[in-house]
Amino acid sequence: MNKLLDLLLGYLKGRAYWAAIEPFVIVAVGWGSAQLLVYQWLTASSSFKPSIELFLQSYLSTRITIVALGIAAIILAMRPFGRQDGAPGPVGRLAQYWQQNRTSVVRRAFAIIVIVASVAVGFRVYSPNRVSHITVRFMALDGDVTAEALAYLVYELNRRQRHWYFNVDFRPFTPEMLTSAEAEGCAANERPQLCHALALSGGEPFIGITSAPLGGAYFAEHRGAVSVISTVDRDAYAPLSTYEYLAYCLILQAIAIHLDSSGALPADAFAEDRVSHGGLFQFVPEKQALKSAILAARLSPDEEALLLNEFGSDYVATCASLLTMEWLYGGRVRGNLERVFGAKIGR
Amino acid sequence: MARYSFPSIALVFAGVLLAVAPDGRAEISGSAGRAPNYVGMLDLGNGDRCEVSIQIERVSFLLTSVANKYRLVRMLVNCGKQTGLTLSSAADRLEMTIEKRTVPAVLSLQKSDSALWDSLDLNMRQTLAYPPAIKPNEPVYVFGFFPADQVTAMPASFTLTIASLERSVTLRVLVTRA
Repeated sequence: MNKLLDLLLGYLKGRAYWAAIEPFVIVAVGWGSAQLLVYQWLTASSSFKPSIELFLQSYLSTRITIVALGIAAIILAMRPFGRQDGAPGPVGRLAQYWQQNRTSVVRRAFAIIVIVASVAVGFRVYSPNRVSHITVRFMALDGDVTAEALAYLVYELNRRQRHWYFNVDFRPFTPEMLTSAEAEGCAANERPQLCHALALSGGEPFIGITSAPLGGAYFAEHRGAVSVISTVDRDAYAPLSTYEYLAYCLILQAIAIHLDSSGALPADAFAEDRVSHGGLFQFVPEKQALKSAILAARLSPDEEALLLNEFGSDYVATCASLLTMEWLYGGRVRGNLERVFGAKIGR
Repeated sequence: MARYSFPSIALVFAGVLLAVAPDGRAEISGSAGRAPNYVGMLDLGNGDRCEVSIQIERVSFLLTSVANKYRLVRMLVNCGKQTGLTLSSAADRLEMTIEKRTVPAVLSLQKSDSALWDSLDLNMRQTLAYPPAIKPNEPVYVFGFFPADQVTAMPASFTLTIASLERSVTLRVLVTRA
């Protein structure tokens, strides 16, 4: 690779136009080196190991390209002034210099401002979005699921991420907390649990957990910043425990809420389909197939690219790690659940 | 005759006042006493019990009201280590005995006074709503709204009836001696 580069540079240096293109060649080499360095840094600093192809589609690569293009544009704008008399420029005599080159200086200054602003806008557009915290509310729990064990599970999820967390709201839910209009509306709604969750959320990211049927779905419903998960169909996910099921659903719904709030949730997410490859946002064709999705949970390359560009590499790494559920089956968490809370993990 | 300065007399006087105060505190409020604590024990039938208590500060209770319509009572329910309590705002009753009259509390403003209830924000509604259940060993505050026009004096006692248990408990003033 280096030899090829040396050969190419040697050839170019012998050309008459070398002086004109030299700065741009340097920028191009810098661009390539920066891409390589950042890729190396990403794979070394995180458990997330993207493919080269995925990296080149990422916001990191795009940002490097934007900066390189910006530098190239500035070099172009700063080409030396053509002097009419061929004499050396009046470098030390600012007033005279300004008199002679006023128009050019103003134009170049304007061009530089435009280039810098464009680079800043490009950076902003290709920045990962910040993700919000999410409130989890135990709206109604089955008798064998305790709020404290579930809270422990949620806190363990929180331990594994740095940039956002779940807040647990321990207040017991009753429809009497709603306004009279909300209570009446939800009682008549075909999706009463989602209706309650929307009313309780106050417009903030919210996941409700209930043991009641949802009305519109078997396992979970999602709308905007709000999701509700039901444990009513426990026969479908048995012998997995409700804790494993809820851990998976919480991770999935949190991702859905974050994507939805940044307008990036795929349009066909959770759309009814009888064909599935076990993707995160795919419809579960048969209730019993939820077990399969939980046990083989992963991020597909498309989902990795989506999450990487929306929320950054840390987020993808955390989600990929959480979805494997290895953290739950590990000795400490599993042991604590069984020993302290009497909660058996099925697998 | 020995002469005493004003500060030394004031100091002695303050010491005497502190010494005769029954609980060691100088009471300076107009009520000249502690807020009465109404206490009762609800037998859960399996040997477990819930302690139910209401503390009322006379002046603020008689002077203040919610929207000029209700006197607010805050009841602390603390059940034993084994058994919780299932509640129902529709079936349970909280009553106040006052001047030989019984005044029932509104436990669900959402149903009884929806205009007032709807005017409260979500956080306040969540605090004031009658809870669906009380977990063992988790003290919970429960709120009752008594019609202000019927409550013009301090209550003699309260009676709480829990429909799921088909039991009642009467809360009477707990007399404490210093």
